[in-house]
Amino acid sequence: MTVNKSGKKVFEKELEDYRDQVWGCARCNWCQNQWGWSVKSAEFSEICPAFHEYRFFPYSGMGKMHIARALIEGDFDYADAPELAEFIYTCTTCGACEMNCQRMQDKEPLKVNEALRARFVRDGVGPMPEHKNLINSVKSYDNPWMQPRTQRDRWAKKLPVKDIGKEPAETLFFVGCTTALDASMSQVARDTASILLKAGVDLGTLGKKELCCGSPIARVGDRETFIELALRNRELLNNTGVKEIVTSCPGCYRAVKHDYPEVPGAAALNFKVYHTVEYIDRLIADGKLTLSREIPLKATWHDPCHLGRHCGIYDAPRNILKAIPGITFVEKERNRDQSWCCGGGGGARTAFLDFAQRTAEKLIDEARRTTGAEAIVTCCPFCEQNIGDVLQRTGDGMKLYNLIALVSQSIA
Amino acid sequence: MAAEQKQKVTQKKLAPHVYQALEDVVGKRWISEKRSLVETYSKLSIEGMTFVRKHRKDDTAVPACVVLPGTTGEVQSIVKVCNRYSVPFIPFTNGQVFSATTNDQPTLIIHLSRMNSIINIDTDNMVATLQAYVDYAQLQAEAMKHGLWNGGTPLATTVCKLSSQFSFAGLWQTDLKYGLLNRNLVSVKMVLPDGKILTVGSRCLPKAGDFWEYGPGPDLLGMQRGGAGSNGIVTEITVKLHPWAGDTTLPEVPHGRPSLEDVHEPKYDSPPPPANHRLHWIEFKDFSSQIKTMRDISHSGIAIGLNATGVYSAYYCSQTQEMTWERCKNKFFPDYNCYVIIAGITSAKQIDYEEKVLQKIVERNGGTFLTADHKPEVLEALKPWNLDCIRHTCGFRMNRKMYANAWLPTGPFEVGRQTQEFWSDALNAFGECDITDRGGADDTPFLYALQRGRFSFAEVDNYPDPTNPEEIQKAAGYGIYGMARLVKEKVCPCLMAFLSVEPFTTMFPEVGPNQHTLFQKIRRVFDPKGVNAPGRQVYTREEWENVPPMLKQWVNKMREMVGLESVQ
Amino acid sequence: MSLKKDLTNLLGSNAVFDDEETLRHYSRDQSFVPQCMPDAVAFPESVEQIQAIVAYANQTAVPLVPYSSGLNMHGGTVPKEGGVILNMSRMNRIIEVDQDNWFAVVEPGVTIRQLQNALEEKGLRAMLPLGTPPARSALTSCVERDPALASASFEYGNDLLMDTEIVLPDGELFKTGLWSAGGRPGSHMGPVRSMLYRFWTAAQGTLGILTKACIKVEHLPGMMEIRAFRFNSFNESLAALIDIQRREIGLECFLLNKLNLAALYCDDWHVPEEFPASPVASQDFSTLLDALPCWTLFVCLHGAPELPEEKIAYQAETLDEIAGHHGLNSVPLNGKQELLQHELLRPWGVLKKYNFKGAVHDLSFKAPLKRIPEFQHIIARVAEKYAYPIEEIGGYILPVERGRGAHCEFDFHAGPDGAAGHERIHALWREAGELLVDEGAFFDRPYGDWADMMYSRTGEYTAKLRELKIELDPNNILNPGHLCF
Repeated sequence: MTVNKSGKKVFEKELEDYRDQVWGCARCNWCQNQWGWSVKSAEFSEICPAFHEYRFFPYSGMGKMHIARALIEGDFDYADAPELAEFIYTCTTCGACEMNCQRMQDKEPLKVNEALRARFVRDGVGPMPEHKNLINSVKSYDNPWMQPRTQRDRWAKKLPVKDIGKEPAETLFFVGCTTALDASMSQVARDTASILLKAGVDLGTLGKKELCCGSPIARVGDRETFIELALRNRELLNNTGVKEIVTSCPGCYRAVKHDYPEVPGAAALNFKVYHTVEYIDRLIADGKLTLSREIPLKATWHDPCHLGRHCGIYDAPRNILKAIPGITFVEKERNRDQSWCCGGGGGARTAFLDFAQRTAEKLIDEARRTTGAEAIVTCCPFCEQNIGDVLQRTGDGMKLYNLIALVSQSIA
Repeated sequence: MAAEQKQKVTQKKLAPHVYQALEDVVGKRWISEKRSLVETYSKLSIEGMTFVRKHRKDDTAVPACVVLPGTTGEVQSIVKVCNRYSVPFIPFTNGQVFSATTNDQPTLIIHLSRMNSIINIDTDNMVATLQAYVDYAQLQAEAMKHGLWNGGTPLATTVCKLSSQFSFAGLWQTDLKYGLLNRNLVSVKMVLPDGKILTVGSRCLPKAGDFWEYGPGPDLLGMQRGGAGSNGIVTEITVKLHPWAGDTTLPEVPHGRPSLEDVHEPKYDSPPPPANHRLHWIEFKDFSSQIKTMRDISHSGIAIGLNATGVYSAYYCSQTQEMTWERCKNKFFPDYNCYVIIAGITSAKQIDYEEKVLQKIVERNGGTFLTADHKPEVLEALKPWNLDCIRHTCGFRMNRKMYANAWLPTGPFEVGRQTQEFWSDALNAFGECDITDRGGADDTPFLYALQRGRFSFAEVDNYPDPTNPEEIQKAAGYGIYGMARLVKEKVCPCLMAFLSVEPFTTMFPEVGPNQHTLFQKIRRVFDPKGVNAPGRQVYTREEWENVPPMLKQWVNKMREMVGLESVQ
Repeated sequence: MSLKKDLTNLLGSNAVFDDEETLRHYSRDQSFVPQCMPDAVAFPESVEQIQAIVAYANQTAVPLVPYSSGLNMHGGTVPKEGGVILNMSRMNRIIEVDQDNWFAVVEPGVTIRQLQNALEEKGLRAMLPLGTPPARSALTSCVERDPALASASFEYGNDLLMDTEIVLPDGELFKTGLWSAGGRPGSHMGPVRSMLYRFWTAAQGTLGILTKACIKVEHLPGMMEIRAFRFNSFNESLAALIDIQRREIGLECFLLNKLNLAALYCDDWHVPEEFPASPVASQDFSTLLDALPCWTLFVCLHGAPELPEEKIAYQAETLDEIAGHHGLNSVPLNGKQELLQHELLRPWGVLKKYNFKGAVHDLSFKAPLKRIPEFQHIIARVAEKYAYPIEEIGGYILPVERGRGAHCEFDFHAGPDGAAGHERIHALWREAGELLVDEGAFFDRPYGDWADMMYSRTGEYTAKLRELKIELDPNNILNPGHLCF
């Protein structure tokens, strides 16, 4: 009995495919706690945002395993447990449980929860009502924010970026819905494009034709919509002829790089996928970008879950931060694979805003108290939104930067 | 099969006025009787019976309600409500217990997850006072900042709560020097089953402070240890700290941290040992020279930890179950081995001295160190132990299937040999559930040296498929057979999963002898209404009458198998 | 039938006595505990006989006072309600010494001298408390939690009691540790890793009669080196003492004040056989008292079985480093090294202090190291009130488990009962005790008057002890009137 032995791809696995795993949950409780060797204090020793907040086991990865077991065996059904959706959807899909459980027990509580969500959607008891707006928006507008398609390339005005539909380019900048459409985020898109152009990258975008990567849809369990989107995107992207894709959104990055190959019955990707920080780190290392302008700032890095824990990009952003003159880099107590989620992912922010923001508050608190930093730096639009909202609401003096903005400043 | 075609397991509920009384104590947020929520408190970790009950769709496994007190005062109020309405309750931390107890009465789970603060680290007197939900890793992390540590962590891993381990568990890697948790207790604050507060040790005298573990006079702390949590709820525990020779944090793995994409790569499990600590591995040609060396090392006074792992390293040090199976099959790890943890507490020269003594003893007994020249690949694979020997993290790799059954007999090192023999008999009688079950029969059982080698714990386990009721039943056979066999052979079973406390207490009156009658008296004093985890440590006559006949039959069958008379 | 006759029926002839002189002998000890005559003294020789007597006592409600050597010195075996002294001195077999697993199995009548002698022959030693008579029962010393001299060491000096065999108040025989399974001994832990055995510790025989115990022993050091440092006050030693403990230097580590050290060094005095002793005047003692420092700290470095010189060397090096750091004044032990080493293995030389005035009334409690000066101050204040000379207070401080706490003993010297000033010293001792308990000095072994002082302040602990006593000993036959029973 071990994981990933069914031969099925993740997006075709039913809850029942995890039966061995859920029966075998040993309640080791590592899904709620920092990997033992990494614990540096009592206060910051936990890792599951939902369990930390609610303290009942159903909110933990382990709890999901037990719920899944009972549903598989028919011990109760939806009518007996109308509360189920709350337990299943307060998860931020940060993957911390899965990280420690995989390492310890070879099991996948996050995938089990995603299978639960898929089943809920299939059976019409999920997702949360708030998520339905988001899904409908993607279906109607190809983005979750109910923005017209025509707005998607507004950020790029006056920038000499190629439209890949009109002229070929080696590198595609896959902007992502939030970066492209949220006015407060669009500077990231402009900065990214400017930096890459400055480094001589032959850069293009899909312009108005860019589609939602499907990540938010996948995370809330609407497999049908996600698979359709993934297939559309794969075809669209494979047909661009680019050698590589760069995206500044960890959600898009994870979706394209790791989720698409798990969608059944589709062709392989014919390009490489990079996150912006990975790409910029390489440009700096290759001498194609020089960070020269000093930014006097004591800063700490927040690892976006989908970039760090899910995809293993830990060093690139740290390398960049350390390369910026004037920046004093300080590490948060919980970092890399054991990083504390901002609370913004997995649809939690959409359906459980208070919980998402309390999770961000805890992150800010940890950053301040374990580093003495003036600023949190990250590179995920969802993290930025969620942390930024809290900082704004509370009037907290902690600064928040997108790494791309700092790079842009240091280059200029 | 669609879910609706399967038999449901209904939940018994508390009477509305009881629920209301509990809600009045903790507030709406911290109480729930939702069906899916209580489910997550119903299938426990190691207790085989809960798996059996789950497969049998037994509704007695499902608690009625879960409540989350935030203070000792709230625990008191909850317990008083339970007394008033005769509601049985079970204190709960992680659920990694060896003995479940929900029964046919609607049962309340008192989950202590909100009580998770370190109350005090007293560096002068080297003690730490913890709330019930504080785990070993938290304690270590804070103590190390003060040049202290708690002396060890359990194989059940550092995420275990000390308040819970206090009740009856807690084997450490460093038992050689520091003993088990039971040697490291100073005091507890307990909410007794009637709602009163009991503190023990010096803490019970006003102004004395919390530093002394005994008395006044007859000791009540020891009575709670081993009480399986049935004499009250530990809401605060004070434990000893010891000088720590390492740094304030444990070292990082030089290869960085994993991601979900490459989490199983062995390189992430290769930490160095903590500063001023060394870990040495020694291989032996046979069990006799292993034991001889372990005894000599114990008597020499060196080292803080000494254990033989045998095939167990194949669980702890393998990143996947496939790797475990492969290594078991190929005998990748030496059959007869031990590891020695050395710490330079006095000075660096202590390490030099102890390594010299170790060298001498190993040479004398014909052992071989694992080194860069001798089996370097094995030494590399054993690296998780470099930190696990201090802060045990990888232990639950044993449980990738189901850790159904453990025998932990105690005695001089030779108890390992008896364990080998009895376990082999069990394997022959019942057949293995999994290749890993042969650990301890074909090689050394896990052997822990305790208190300078005066005695040891041997451990053997088996791992059935949790989805397979027949295999679990087979594992139950091992567990009960083991208990009967050890009792028959007059070997002390210090802890047995599957059948750790009751019905062991009552169905093996040879032990004590008649320890159940003494336990019954103690229970009458502490829990006259029988509400605190009833039937966990010892049955009342009425509870005994209600024990499922199946269980009595199982135990009697095994008693007869080893030549003990049936118990009626 | 008479009590004697009944008991003789159970034990046979020459095992029961009720003559006036014998009863008087058992009616008191050197402590302030009031005299009380027992009705008979019985000498059982087997567990079965003890069980028979317990059954008899339950039928007749005759109190039983478990008694091994009678050298508790604090009234633990002085009857409160008469009854039968159950003198187990005839059960004096060392049943086993296990050289492989380092334990000894003893009956209650085995004395600490007898045990130590037997162990030494096998290259082993028992860890013994300072200032306990050589004729004291080794089992009782362990069960009553006498603090071993090696208490500073977590591993070697504490938790010495392993398996026990107990006749419960209802006459049932109960075993703890490995013995509970009926086999070999060798661990304090029984099923479910229980520590139940601790319930019978410091119980003064009120909860059961221990008939056999397995006790930890250690190797006999082939090499020892004792270092000593002088201080003008205990307070002055504190910082260095803590550093020494944190570096885990020395197996034994303790402080004696000048009165106790002078008694130990005094050539004119011998260890008394009886307590109280008859006072012996000594010029040597007076001279020593003048010459010795207020407090002396002893750190005893032991060579392990393997490479003993090297072990002593690395410890000595760190000790020197700490001594240098704190500017400690080392005391040359010219000619005393041997005496001290002898005292470590046979630690009753300090009992020569009984020659000073005859009786010694100690205040024996546990305290955090840093609070000891505060308690010393209380004792000095009360002594002053009663015009008791400060320099005649004996002092012994024993850090426990690397300084987690300390065992403290402060002695008042007095003549025997009836001697001049005896009542005054009793009042002084009692008042000092009350004030100490008030401030949190923890008398964990509450003998005599300390029992009321402690149990009136320990609330639910006291209540639960009483409830357990009633459940286990409903007829209250075992040593009634002691502790809180």
